Amino acid sequence: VTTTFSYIHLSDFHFCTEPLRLNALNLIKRNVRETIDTCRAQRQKFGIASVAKPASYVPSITSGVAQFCYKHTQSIDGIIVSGDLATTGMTTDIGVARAFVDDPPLGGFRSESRRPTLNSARRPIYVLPGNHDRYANNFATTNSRLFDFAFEHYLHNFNGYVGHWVRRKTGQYLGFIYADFTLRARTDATTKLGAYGQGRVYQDVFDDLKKQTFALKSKYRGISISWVVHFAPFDCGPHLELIDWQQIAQAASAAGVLTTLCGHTHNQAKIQAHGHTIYCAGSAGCVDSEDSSTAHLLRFEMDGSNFGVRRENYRWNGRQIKFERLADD
Amino acid sequence: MTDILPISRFLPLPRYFRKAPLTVQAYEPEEFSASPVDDVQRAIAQVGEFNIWVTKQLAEMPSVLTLALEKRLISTLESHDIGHEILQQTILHFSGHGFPAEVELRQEEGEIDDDRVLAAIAQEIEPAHFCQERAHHVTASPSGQLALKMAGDFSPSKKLTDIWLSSLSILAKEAGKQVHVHPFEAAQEFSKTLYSLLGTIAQQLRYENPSDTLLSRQQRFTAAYQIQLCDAFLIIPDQAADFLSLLFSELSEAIGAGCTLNGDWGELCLSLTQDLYFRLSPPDFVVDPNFVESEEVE
Repeated sequence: VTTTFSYIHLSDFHFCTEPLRLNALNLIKRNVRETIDTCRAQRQKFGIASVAKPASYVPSITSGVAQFCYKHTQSIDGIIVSGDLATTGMTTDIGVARAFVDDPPLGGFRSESRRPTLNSARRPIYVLPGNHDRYANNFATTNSRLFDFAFEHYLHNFNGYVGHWVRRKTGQYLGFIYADFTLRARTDATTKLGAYGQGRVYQDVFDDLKKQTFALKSKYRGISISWVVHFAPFDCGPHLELIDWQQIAQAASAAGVLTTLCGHTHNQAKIQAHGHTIYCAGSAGCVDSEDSSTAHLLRFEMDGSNFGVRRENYRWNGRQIKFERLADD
Repeated sequence: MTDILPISRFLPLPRYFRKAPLTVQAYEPEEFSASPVDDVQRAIAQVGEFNIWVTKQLAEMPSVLTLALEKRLISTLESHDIGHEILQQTILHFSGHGFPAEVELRQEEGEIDDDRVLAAIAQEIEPAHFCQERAHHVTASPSGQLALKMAGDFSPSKKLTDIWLSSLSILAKEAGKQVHVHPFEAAQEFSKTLYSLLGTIAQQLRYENPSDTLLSRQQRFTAAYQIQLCDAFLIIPDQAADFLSLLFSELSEAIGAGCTLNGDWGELCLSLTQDLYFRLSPPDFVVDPNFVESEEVE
């Protein structure tokens, strides 16, 4: 008998101050969209969009994300958000991200304030911080800890850098271990601009990740484990690099971890290295991915000692206002 | 990520297009109704005859490729089996005064067979199409524009986008920036924002089983939607009344004239009392009969 765990995987919303008239002046002055490290047109003029759409996220897409989760409520075990929920770790940005995740639903997938909320799916939500969630200001000063306070209830068993959760279905265990590899200091980046997009495999965090993996394997016989990180543990260019990323796939493979989930690049990808599979989620609403936002549905299938993962990919259709299914991978 | 090579070039159209005279004879006189503003401008310019006025306006207009013409061009090329070579973003704009003389294409990859493209365009797109598409932007009053009985997408009048741009310019100026925008870009962005907002509202309503799906009452957007529209378009308060009344007028007339605004969520309709309402599709849930929810261990 095959046991299937289903999780929706989302990443990189980049919420910021809501793009309402009240906030327009602040947003236009702030140029928030230009602070996104993956923004393809970062150095270009945005024309009308820089004023007409001053936010770093697209509200119609994030509403579509809440709808996507709500319509799958009867077929998923949880929702995983692999970082960069907000554009900075400042109160205004984190507050909007928190409302999207945490606001109690009133009807459909909206909250009492008539805004979409992931909570409407009434399924467990798991988050971890990305580099943007740790920015203490618009200039990538690191180490904001506001995210940890705002999402305390969604950071399961989190010690500040590593956390985990385990679920069981028909006698099978599935565990996730997540790690925060965001920079601790700007000087830890390898380039000046790297402070905006890089992460680093800090040895103490990495050791803790491996230690927690062995601990869960010892505790639950036959448990299948996935890792979740924000940064992509593969070559994605120096600007977005997870410094020393090569260690991740190698260690995961050695520890019997079959998959790593990540985000950060805003491009969906499936990478295989050392017999280990990395599923990278695209952005689910960042303004630089308006025409290519994605949501993913992961199926973890277990049959005795066999463990397999497949992924359904969905891309935003801005005309139909819905996520449409693409090819699986 | 698609690599777009920055190779731009001008593709000369055949003589048939280049030399064809501009004409507005295709339009019946009653299809136009010049607004008072247009009349004043015409009087100042001392142009008495309406067709000459339109011709003059066309000649002075910056060259733009309207969304509808862009689609027609793409579908023409697809019917000649060359659509896969030319995507919508490949066509930048037409250039030329009074009548398009050249088409600018952005080449993405490989070589585009110029002759095949030109032959396809020459075979199926008549000069009148260009004139008609441009006329949408020339007519100043919504009723004049809508009298063309266009089907398909809603496109805003210049007056409507001007109000929008005026609001944006004021905000931008106060924020120490300037807005430089091509009229075509503004119209396209306006339509996109409107479709996105109305579609999002409809998708949200669809899952709430609402008893009221009216977008307007007594030919005015209801208060909640007035606020949402002004927020989405960043319309400053002292321009809100003009914006909302003109938007309602254009949108309702367009829907009444057969323009469609629909999606996965349903469609926007016009009631007998000339009010706008959503006809919503039933909510869509994914149900797996074999699904058993997992339990939390730690």
